[in-house]
Amino acid sequence: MNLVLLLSPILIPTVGALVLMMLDAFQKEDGGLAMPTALLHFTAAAMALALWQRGVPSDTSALHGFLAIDKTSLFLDATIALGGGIASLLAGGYLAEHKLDRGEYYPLIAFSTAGAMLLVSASDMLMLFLGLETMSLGVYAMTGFRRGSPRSAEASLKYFLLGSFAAALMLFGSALLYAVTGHTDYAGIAEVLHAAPANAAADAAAAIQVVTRSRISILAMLLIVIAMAFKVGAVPFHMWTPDAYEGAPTSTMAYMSSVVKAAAFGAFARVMLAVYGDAASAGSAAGWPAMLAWVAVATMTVGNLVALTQTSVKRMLAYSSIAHAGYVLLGVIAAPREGTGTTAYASVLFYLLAYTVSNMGAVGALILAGRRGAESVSYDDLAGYARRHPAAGFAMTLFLLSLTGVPPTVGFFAKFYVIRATLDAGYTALALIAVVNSAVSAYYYLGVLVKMYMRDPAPGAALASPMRSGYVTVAILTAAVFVVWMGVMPERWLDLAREAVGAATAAAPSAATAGGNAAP
Amino acid sequence: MTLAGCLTLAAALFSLGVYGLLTRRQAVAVLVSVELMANAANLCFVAFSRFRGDVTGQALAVFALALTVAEVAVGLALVILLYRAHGDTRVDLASEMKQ
Amino acid sequence: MNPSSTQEIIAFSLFAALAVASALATVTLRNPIRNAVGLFVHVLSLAGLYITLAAHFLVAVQLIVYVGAVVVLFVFVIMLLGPGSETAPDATGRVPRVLGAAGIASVGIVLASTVRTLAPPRPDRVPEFGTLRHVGEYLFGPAMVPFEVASVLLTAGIVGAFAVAKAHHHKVKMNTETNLAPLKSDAVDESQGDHG
Repeated sequence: MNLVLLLSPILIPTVGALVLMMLDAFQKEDGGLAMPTALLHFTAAAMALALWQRGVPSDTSALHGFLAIDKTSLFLDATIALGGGIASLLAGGYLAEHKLDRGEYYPLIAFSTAGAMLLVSASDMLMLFLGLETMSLGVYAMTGFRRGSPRSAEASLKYFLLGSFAAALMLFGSALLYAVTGHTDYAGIAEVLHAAPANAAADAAAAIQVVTRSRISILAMLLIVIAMAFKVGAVPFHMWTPDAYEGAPTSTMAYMSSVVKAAAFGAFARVMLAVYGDAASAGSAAGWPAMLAWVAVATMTVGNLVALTQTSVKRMLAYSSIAHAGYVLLGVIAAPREGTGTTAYASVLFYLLAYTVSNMGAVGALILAGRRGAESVSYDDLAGYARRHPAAGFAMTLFLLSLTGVPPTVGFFAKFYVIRATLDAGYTALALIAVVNSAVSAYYYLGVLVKMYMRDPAPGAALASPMRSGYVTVAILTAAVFVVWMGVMPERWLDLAREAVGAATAAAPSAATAGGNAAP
Repeated sequence: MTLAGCLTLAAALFSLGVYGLLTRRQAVAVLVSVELMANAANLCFVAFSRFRGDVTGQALAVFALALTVAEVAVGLALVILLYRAHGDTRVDLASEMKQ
Repeated sequence: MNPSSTQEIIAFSLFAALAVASALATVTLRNPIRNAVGLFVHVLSLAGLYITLAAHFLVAVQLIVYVGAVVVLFVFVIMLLGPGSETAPDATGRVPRVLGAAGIASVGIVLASTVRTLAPPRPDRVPEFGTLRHVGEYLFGPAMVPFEVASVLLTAGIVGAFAVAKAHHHKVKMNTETNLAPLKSDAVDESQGDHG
């Protein structure tokens, strides 16, 4: 019973997916599964919160160290479930409008959500791997859902091949870690890797062993970092992102760019802090934070600069999602720092939640603006849109402002906390680059607003007019509530994220000491 | 038969897989290359399982096998999808599609 | 460390050579059917290697799952695609790719030479090591959670493959409309400039 309770946030979407499959099988017509799927996700989120409130059961021995159910994972579980719920609502509107409404979509979302939750709860390389693949397989299939379109098919196949490549890298990385430590759980790996050799100086053979171990563990780390960079779409492993996002049904794009990203970042931060959080790997100038700093700079800059040149709003959002991955990386880089690291880790969690709701909302507003046959919304299509349809225009405005980082929306505080954490950790140049990038991004986000409010459509041009869908409206409202709520009381939410991180360090003492980020 | 032998072999097979992934454009061939990489990792697990006398590595290899199968099923379905839509199965992983 | 027996060494070298040769054939030959046959030989030789590494249960799984299912699936799809799929010319910009592969290979060599120093003592062969019972006790004992998760993974894979590859809609009412609608929206997609 304890086990069922512990795993309930994960079990709900898993069992729910099976129920949805049965519902689909016995349904006479397609459609109508969006609401049950969304409810399923929101129930899972509520369950994660309930478990948080009740206090995580301390006896987790039944999991045998494969999963770590703590407040960090519960926070991320809730984020993922919320994002998944909104995405299912968006799917309900989008798929029906574009005549793609086939029942398999909804079990796939639920399976992916279960995989994403497993991914963020994983405390063992095996579970990391299984979670990653469960999440990805569903998303691959959802990406290829626009079956008639050659572009979509090619994009989804590319996404799949690069994703499997990343998975193979990760598998080889864990094989190497198993090779040098004999463990696959994070705590065990860290223990062996960072065990101070008792008499290394005296025993030449033992000294060689230690050197070998550290060399191979660094190679394994590289493989894991590359695999994760593929998953979150960080430069230079981002080339699949714009194509896959554009080719995918827009509701899938919302899911990929928010939920998949949140899960991958959550798992990435956890594995790096737990396995490579020691001072030697994370502290020195040649450690992984320094390496990731370059990746973060490239990711932000490339994402923003290419987004500037886009004419399609959907493609612009794809590149902007790359740029946002760069901002999240800043928090991950600052997380292993002694003392200030906890807040940096919390700012990552905060950012992931904030980006999930803002991005879901923005994509939702885009879905709303794209009727059947006019799906690829360009900047020009939106000329005068907000004046013709004030409510729909306002929704788009709110979420784009949040993505830009304009106060008092949540996007501002997300960026603020991450950049503050970067400064606290002593990466001044990095913080400056982030601020400049954020200013650059304002240009293309606000460009949409200028078009919507101030430009008149060219005579005879195609006009974007919103579709009518209760699902999309509810989804946008849900996202808007969070964008405003978190923007109005950001400290309260940051405290929650802090509590989530603090609990993680308390619950896993070996990881915390190795991570060097124990609560001050 | 030494441990170094096993690992050299695994590294070589893994590199061959990466080579195939980088040079091939035919979707099925790329997928086969990814399979080679996963199999090389499996060989690593099994070799260390033997040399450590610990069954965990073998169990991991069993999981990795199950996972590869699921991956191949979805991957080949996507290949068929591309073929139906496009009439051929070429992909170029290194570049973005033209706008 | 107990020395390996001569037969073991011979078997290992034989299978290793076969594995490398077949992998090479798999990645270089242009004809997809030859790729699949290369993969077939490759997984068989790996199964041979697993025997020398005392992973008997895994050998069975490898044969049943890989040879019996994966390779057959590959061949099936290649046959389904027909001869049109084999003429695709490979990459033009070969040099950077080959350089990349060479770089990765050198990492592999460094890795292998480093590992030489690691070699933990090889334990004596316990009779039940790697048997069905031995692996099963681990899978259904401590590894119960990942074992169950693997079932979720496989279900997700089946549903995903089905959703992607299913040729026609089974819900009759949708059929008439869907034949037209996606074409229309694709036409818009294309006019946005899919001339690549």
